[in-house]
Amino acid sequence: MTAFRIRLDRLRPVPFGVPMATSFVEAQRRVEQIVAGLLPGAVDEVSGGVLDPLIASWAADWLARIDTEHADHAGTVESLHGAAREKVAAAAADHDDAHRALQIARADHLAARARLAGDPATP
Amino acid sequence: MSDPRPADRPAASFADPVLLPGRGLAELVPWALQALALLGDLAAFYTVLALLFRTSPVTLLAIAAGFAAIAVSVAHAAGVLWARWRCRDPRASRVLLGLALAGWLLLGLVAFVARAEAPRASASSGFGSSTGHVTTDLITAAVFIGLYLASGLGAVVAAYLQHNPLHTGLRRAATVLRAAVRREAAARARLARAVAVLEQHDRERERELARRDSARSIVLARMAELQNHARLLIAIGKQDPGHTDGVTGSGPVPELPLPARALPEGPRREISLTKSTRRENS
Repeated sequence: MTAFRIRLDRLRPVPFGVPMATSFVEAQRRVEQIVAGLLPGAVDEVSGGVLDPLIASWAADWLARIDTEHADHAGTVESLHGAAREKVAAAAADHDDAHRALQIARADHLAARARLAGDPATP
Repeated sequence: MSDPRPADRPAASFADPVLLPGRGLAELVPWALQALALLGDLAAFYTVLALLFRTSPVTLLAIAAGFAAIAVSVAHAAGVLWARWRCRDPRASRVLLGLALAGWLLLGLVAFVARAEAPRASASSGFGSSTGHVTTDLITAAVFIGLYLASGLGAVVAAYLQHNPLHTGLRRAATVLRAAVRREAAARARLARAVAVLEQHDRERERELARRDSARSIVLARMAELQNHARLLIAIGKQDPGHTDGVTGSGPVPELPLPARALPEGPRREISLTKSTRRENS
């Protein structure tokens, strides 16, 4: 019986249909295979970088995937940021309203107090 | 209703600085006494009604409660109107004051006559009990009217002394102010929390960039590892010191990453009382 474990940590776009990435272990194994194929006569002291372009292509693949994931993360961050701005706007409006009510209540209280104290300047 | 006073006595007014701190628990005393007076009137009316009506005690109690409530309410209204009239309140009415007093006296007088003239045999309990040989109907009726007048006058005087619309207004304003302070404090706390969350998401952008840069550095390090690994395998395969130096010397040496820098705090968002719109647009 196969156990499935699904982990959802965020909403994200559907990934592009790109080929599977070469894993690091697989890349290491392929480097060893290729070097074994080259030895002993196909290399000299100046041909150490013969596999560099191949390795760089794998690295470019990995970097592109990081950039793609970063774009997804940025979208999630932007979404959360927008929700936070929404809450700030609502809280600010509520606070402004409460503050105005407090100012009015303070003025009313001072006026009521002055009237009871007999302040002649109070209507 | 004339109220002669010395010439140097200030005109009557609801303004009373002594009441600024409030009356405290002393304010409850007149109301407690009025509640007792209401109970006394209830008992007195019940005995009178028991002489007049042959009905169930519950019905008698309901009627007596209505009469007692009316008597105390009218007496209280008379005290309030008297206080307003004395303080030159434009809403005071001498006509209403006279009607209230007249109605209150009439209610007591009717009950007094009913108690005095009702057959003694119909008395069931309380003031009208016929078990005593000395007590006459007139005396019990006098006792009733005395209790009625005393409780009524008590209600009038209590209302007259207690009624102060300015003091009531100050208490209401204080209650509203306390509620407004609580609401403003809660709204301010919610705003502070919302701003803190927004600042956290501001810094989350910076953190995400740092995480991406770190991930790219890891890939570049792995790339250098593979490239150097290939060179070492070639050097191992050649088994020649001259080749080893030539092959491995050209390998990439990745730049070691610096310690993660502290994220900038950025400008703090001011929790302003009046500039929320500008803050939101910033």
